[in-house]
Amino acid sequence: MFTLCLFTGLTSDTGCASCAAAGLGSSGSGRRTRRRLGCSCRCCGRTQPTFPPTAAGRRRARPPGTHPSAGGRRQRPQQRPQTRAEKQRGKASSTSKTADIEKPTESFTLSLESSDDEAPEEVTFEDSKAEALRSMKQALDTARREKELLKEKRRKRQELFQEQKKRKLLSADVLEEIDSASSKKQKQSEDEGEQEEKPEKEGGDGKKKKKKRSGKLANARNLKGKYTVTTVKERTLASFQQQVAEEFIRSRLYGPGTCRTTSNEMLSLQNKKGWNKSAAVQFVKKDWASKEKAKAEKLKKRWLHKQQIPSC
Amino acid sequence: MGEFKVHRVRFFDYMPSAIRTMAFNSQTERLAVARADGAVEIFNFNDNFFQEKVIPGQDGRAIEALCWVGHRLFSAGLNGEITEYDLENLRPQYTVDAYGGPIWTISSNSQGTQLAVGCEDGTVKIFAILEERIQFQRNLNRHKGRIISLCWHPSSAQIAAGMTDMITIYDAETGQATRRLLVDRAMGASKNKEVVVWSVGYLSDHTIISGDSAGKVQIWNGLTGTLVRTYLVTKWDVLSLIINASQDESSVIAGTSEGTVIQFQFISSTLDQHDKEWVRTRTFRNHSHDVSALAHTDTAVVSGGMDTQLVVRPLLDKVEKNTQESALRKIAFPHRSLVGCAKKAGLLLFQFPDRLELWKLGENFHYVHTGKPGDRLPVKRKPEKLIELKRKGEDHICCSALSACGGWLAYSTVSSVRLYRIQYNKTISINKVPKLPKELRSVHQLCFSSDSSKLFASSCQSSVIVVAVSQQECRYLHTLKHKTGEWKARMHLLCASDDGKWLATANTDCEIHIYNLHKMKLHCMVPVYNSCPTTIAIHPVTNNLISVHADQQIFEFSLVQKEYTQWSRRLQTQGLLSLWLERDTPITHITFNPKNPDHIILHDTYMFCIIDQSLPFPELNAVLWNQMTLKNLPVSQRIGQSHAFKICKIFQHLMCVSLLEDLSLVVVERPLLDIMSQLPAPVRQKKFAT
Repeated sequence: MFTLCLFTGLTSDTGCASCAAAGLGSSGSGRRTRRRLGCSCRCCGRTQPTFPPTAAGRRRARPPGTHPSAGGRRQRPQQRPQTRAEKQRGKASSTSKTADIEKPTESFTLSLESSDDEAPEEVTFEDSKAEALRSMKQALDTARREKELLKEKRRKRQELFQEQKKRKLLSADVLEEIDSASSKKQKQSEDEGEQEEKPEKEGGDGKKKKKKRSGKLANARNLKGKYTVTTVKERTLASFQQQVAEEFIRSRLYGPGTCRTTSNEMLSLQNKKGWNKSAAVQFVKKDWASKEKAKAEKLKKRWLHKQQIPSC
Repeated sequence: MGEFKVHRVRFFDYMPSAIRTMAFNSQTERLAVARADGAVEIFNFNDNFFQEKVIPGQDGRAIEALCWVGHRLFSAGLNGEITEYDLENLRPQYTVDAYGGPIWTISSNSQGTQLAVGCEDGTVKIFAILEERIQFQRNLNRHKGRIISLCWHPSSAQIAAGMTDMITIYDAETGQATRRLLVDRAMGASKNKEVVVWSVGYLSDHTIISGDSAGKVQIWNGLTGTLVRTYLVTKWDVLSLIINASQDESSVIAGTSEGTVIQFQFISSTLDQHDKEWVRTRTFRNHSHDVSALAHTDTAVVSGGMDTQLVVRPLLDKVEKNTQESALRKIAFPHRSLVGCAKKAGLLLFQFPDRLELWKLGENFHYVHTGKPGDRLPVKRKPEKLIELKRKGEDHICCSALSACGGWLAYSTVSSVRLYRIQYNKTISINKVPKLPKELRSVHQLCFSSDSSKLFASSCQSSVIVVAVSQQECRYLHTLKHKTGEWKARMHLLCASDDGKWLATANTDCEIHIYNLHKMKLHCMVPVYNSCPTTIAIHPVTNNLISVHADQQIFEFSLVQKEYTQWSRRLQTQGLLSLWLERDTPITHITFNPKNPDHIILHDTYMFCIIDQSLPFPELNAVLWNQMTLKNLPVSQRIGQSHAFKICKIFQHLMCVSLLEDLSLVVVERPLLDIMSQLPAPVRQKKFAT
């Protein structure tokens, strides 16, 4: 059916094939094809700017009504002529600019194939030239607009992402609540550090520097990640050998294949087997596995907070 | 008997170190126990298993083996050094590098002339034991692979060495390996894993007994090099094995990773036959973790391991049944106090091997005074940790002291003493006192006078150094000596009286000396009792010295009259109840009630007791723990029933009980379950129906 659909090859019943493809297929591929084709169709050129660039619907189908010719069913058959057009365009691109100018006429003649008997309508050279220039200009305009649109779209998307990220983060008070325990501890230790330093401070001016440095060290403890600060110590051969020997014992007694359990399990088993039956130790003893419990508490808080935020 | 507000302290995270190895000296009846942190403890089995000496550990001193040679104690460790200990001054006397890498085992021959050590590089090195030192003699022929265990033949002609996958028998004269006994690997999945002979024993009839990592105890004929018998004892490792070498060599015990101790005996399997063989006889299950150290006394099996407890299990065919001797003993806590208490300031000092912690006790709301006994009081201020003081250097802390006002803190390692001044004005500050007198160098025990103006330190030559401490300086005052120039046992207890006039010292030779601090000389000596004092205290009002000994006897000695008091004599004539005498933990601390001078408060691990000197002693058939019956009786009948010993067992696993000045009781507990929860992983045992 679609024997022709070149740049301006508009038939009254089909509409713009390239546009339809762009609108209905996956947006990426459609856009790509259109750009390659250098589409300059009139219908889409005008309607496209009115597309509401909603961020949420960036992958969704185009809202109906913006492009009357973009019917869902036509998606498949429209792809075929596109490829052909592409081929033709490949041929055309090899020719010079003048060949470009001649193209509309060629297409025009093709479009009138069905009525062979009619005499060809006369078109003056100026007319066709003006037409060609106009179409070229339009094509350039459309391309530019397209680019701008794309830019806009990306920007919007970026904004949306940032906003989403912000929304995902916990609110400040909750964070504070979670961190309060750990920060308290830190403070305490820092205080102690200061206490230790005080005698040095009283020692005189010369020791003030020392205090500064130690203060820095205290900060260095808060390194993120799995970094630890250790002093470099001279390692002798003996200590190395000792380490190897200790490693030997360790691997022999606690290494793989030694079938070890945890004290928690052992004690829980005792609770289970004893005369006075009771639950596993981590539930019986309040201070057992405090680290794990604190972590669980933290995760629970996080989860609760997440539940409070309405999902978008 | 009185009501107390009790501070139940559970924030002392005392964690004993795992027992690595032990050695028993059957001549002196002393057991040396080496812990994983390098500390060595000496227990006196003649004196109610009292822990009379503790040699503090050191970083990096990983003791793997201990060996007694007569009265001398040697240790060898993974740091590659052989150490002899000075058991008087409780410090390493000298160390000798064996130059063979980490040392896994040490063993002396029966004559006590030679010491063999097994090294990482596969050599067995022989050292000659000389008077004051040891000297390298020679290497036996070197084999590839580490020497894990060693045992001399009683004739000192051969040495059996356990290695990976085999046991080698060396001729001690020539140094040649005469036999190699190949040990089977474990069956099943671990077949590719080398088997380690953790322990080996050599009997005088040339029988070799080995325990290995495949869980086997194997009996070999050393003459022919053939395997006689294999006992698969456990699925895990047989970590230790020991022969009762001092007796007839008819019993062997093996300790496993499961926590069991298994006895093998050389007996005839049927009654009338004479041919004897090794038979597995008993299994003891007293440990939750690996048993890595064993000792075989004449009457008992002593075991210790990862669960840090020392267990003395009497063999019931060797002791009389249903006596104190036949009771199982578990020693979980040290027999000395690790907690210091500033009674005026309400501070607690906790001593760890590597640090000191100073805590301030919490407070309750003062308006709450009503309530039944046992109620919880609402807390106004929680206890807080004021200072955590890390030690300097490699040596572990051996003793510490806190003055009663809380303003001074001192601690000592083997090599040095440090004194700190603590000040509280809104924030706390701690200043090290510089330039301590040079006499304060090696100290076993520290003690402040009650007005915090003097520091007493027991030094090496059985002397006490008196140092005046003040804001400005720290000045050496005097050295108290009871006999000049005589080398005596070290003092392990110091106690100053409240009025500042008396100082009592006790040493491990069971002597108690009293010094007059005004005249700075020896006042008198308490008659020597044949059991070591575990704690001493001077009564603040009457100035009587109370001493409690390892065999649980209590004495009261009047310092002024230089004789035992009437109360003490009455107690001795009437005798203490057997229930009191059979307690298996020593009294480690005594305090007095400032409001009621008749009350003496003392505690052991499982109870604390208030002795009321005004009440009669219990009859021999009376109930000792009678607090519950007294509670149910009407007041009028209580007087007839009550006796001098008021015992409270609500608080368990006590590290310290002390009475503050505001008459509130401080009870420092360390539940064994908390210790157990921090131990390394035990083996996974399948229990039926779990």
